[in-house]
Amino acid sequence: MIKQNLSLLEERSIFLLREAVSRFDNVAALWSMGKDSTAMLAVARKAFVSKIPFPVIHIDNGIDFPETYEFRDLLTKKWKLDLIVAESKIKKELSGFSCCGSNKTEALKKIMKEQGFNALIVSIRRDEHGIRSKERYVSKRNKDFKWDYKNQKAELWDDYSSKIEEGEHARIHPLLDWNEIDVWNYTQAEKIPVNPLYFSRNGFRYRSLGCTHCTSMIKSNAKNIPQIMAELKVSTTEERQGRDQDKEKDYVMSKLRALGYM
Amino acid sequence: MISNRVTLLGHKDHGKSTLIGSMLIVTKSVSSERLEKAKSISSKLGKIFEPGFIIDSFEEEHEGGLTIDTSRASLVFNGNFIEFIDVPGHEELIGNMITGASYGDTALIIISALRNEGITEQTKRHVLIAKMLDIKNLIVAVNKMDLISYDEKTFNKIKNEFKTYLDRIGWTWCTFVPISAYKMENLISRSGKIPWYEGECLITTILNAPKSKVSQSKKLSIILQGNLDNNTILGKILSGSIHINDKLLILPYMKNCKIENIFVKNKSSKIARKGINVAIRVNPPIGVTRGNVASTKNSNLHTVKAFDSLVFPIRNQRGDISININGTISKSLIAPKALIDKYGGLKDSKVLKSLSVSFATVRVQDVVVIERSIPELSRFTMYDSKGFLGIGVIK
Ligand SMILES: Nc1nc2c(ncn2[C@@H]2O[C@H](COP(=O)(O)OP(=O)(O)O)[C@@H](O)[C@H]2O)c(=O)[nH]1
Repeated sequence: MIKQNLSLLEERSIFLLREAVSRFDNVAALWSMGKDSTAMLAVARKAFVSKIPFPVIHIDNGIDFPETYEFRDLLTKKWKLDLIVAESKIKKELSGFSCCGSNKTEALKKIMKEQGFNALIVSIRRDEHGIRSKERYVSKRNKDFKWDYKNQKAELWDDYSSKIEEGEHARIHPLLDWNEIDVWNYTQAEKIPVNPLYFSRNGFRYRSLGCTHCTSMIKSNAKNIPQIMAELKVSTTEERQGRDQDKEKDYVMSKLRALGYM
Repeated sequence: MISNRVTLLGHKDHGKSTLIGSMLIVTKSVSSERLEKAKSISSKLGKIFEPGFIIDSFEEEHEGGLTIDTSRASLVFNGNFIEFIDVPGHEELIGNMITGASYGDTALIIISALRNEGITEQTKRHVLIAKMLDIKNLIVAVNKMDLISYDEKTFNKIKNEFKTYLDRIGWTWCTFVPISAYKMENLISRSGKIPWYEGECLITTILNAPKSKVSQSKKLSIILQGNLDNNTILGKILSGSIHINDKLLILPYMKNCKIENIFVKNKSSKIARKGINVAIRVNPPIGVTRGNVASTKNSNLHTVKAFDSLVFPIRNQRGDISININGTISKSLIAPKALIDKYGGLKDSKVLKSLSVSFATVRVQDVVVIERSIPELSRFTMYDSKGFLGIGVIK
């Protein structure tokens, strides 16, 4: 896996976060307590001289791991985050698609509407999944949260001036250029707190965090970040392999994205 | 690590996706899952194996057999990082193509050696755009050599014909490499099938291309994004550097202030240079918006309401348009003067002709800040009621 220059990545992300705040009057960020969205918050603290100027949303299905809740409360206090917890109800059918896709999206839609957010910062990365190679830094979603990927604005020369109509919103992707290994490298260099679920216990760890129902563990003895990075250097599998969703159909991901799940 | 960004250009079906897919395979930069997936999709569609399917990941792309949007793929070869940017090669999507091309330092244009493919209008148009986007290096890969028995004569014919065109439009650095993307010949080592070829293989040619130079202007320019609070402004330094106690001039409104403190990331700093996103505490307090530029009195950046430029529209258009320059949209009136014809000559013209380069005067409703020696302050995008209209470079 390819390591990139952290300070260039960080400068770019700072610029994008400031663009988001300057262009949209009601911005929020999604925070899953995973490594990516936590790294994004660390960058945001640098972009805005320690005080993050937008609320962070946790979509809480009530069954996340206890470690995740503890981690959330600890960091909220430490970084003085304006946390919004959006409750998502688990429906009967718990297979990947209907669980994450519909429940989380419903909860997100509800909170966005209630609070009138017109821009949402989402910490996806281009290397996560084939379909994400098509993403833009600022990407429009219509009122049903649909992504019209065939008809996207050219983001030529830092031109992010997307016009957002009533009911639509913009997704801002400040970490789009980062690779999985860069996030770990940054987390280590900046001493960012890490959700303990990423570290190995009894020979297994989580490489990517969804909820308890659709995330499974990978075999690993990595107990700290350097060991995780060493593991990634030789890995030939993809990061989201531990998630049930990907094992379904080839194109389920593009459908989830079209539905508004990130 | 030195980074090399290569934009792939060329007529649809001449082999861009195949080349990226093959490059990923021969440098072992693709996950086993992605490779398996590409194989299974190939067989589902009744094909032997299409390396191009490694990067085209949308359903529609496999079925329709064409790339609809920019894709990126990275690889490491002997410790060098190379990022390929694949852009759509068909006419309706030239807007996407322009975006993709603007990311690269080097452009790699693919020309199929097949008799019925070869150099097309689109091939020429793509290099013209790359020229406008200020890409310095051009590598021409003559592809599908396997289908013409690696014939030297055909390669030379394409090379001479295309070189004549490149000379006319003024490319200074270009090199020609014969390859077979599909059979993976001459990609990462010299191919035994092409003994008559004396140059380097494709990847060595890419790594040897001169590195692009960044703006060397010493004038101070900071594009501003807004205020953090009354006293603190946020922005990115495009050129020059700032120190505590320096005086700033905020354009276009010509307001003066003094730097009291500089924050680089979370920390207070005495100095900040080009490329850094800064927060600057100023006195007196100043309210800024996106599109404002901070500079100094002696830097002499221009605030103008009209300028001459080279433009490339993707539709026929005249009169009222909007331009986005330095992150702000301004209503504008565009008056074309002349057109650059396909041989590189000038022809009088009063309309902006679709997919051609024109000279034009642009009049903006509000004043804008421009500076020809700083790329970010001398280029713009154009829009009309239908959306993205094209690009322009201030001359
Ligand atoms: N025989 C042969 N076929 C090729 C070669 N390169 C590409 N092709 C085929 O040409 C077709 C178009 O290639 P593709 O990579 O999709 O073109 P793109 O539209 O430029 O991305 C596909 O069927 C490829 O298999 C080559 O070097 N040799």
